[in-house]
Amino acid sequence: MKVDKTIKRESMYLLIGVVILSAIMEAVFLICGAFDYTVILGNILGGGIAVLNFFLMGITLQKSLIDTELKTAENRMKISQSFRFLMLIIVAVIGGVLPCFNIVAVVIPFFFPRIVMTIRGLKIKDSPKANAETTSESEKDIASSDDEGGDNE
Amino acid sequence: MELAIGIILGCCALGAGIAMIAGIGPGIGEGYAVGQACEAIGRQPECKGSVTSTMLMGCAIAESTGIYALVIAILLIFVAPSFLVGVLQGAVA
Repeated sequence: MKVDKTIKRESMYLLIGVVILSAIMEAVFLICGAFDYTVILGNILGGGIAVLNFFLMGITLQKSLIDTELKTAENRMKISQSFRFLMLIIVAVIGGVLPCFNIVAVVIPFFFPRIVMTIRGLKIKDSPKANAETTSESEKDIASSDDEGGDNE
Repeated sequence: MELAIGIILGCCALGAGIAMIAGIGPGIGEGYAVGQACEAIGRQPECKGSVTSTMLMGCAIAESTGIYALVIAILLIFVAPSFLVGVLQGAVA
């Protein structure tokens, strides 16, 4: 299955945001005097899982939006959320049990997507250009899918 | 002393379990939002890009409610017992 351009773009934004926020978090640990290798490992684990969680959510969203049945789309999203939440629980428990991870550094990056998306939402609200870009992209997608459909016929 | 430690551990585990009830909400909310987005795209297919982008942001924000609950539960299981037992032992000593 081909991943949608919008999902790739948003995941890239999130990845950049998570890297920046991780750097800030590590700087705070350094200032507090609690910085060691467990913080770095925990940060990599937590940040990686936060980005993976968002990407998986995007893929499920893409699949759900194709569905014509409203109930199927709803159920697909609910099941996906349950499994992704389970993944977060397992990762948090691994971070708590294994001594090579700092539990705080594992858990804090789970909140980074919210911060990044809130900032991004404010930016999009301010610039109508971004909205226009997404609309023109989807119009192109519709046109190309129509052409493909025409070729098949 | 042992009884007090047992009560602390039991209450921490109970609190973690109760906190995880909040994990149900985001699933229901996201499911409903995606259902409505399907309807919107069905009506206006040219808005697919902007609807997907808005949905992603909405879902990421909605999901953090469940993550708050998860963090509270993890702290209650891994951090709170040792801290509270330490406080209790300090008070007794």
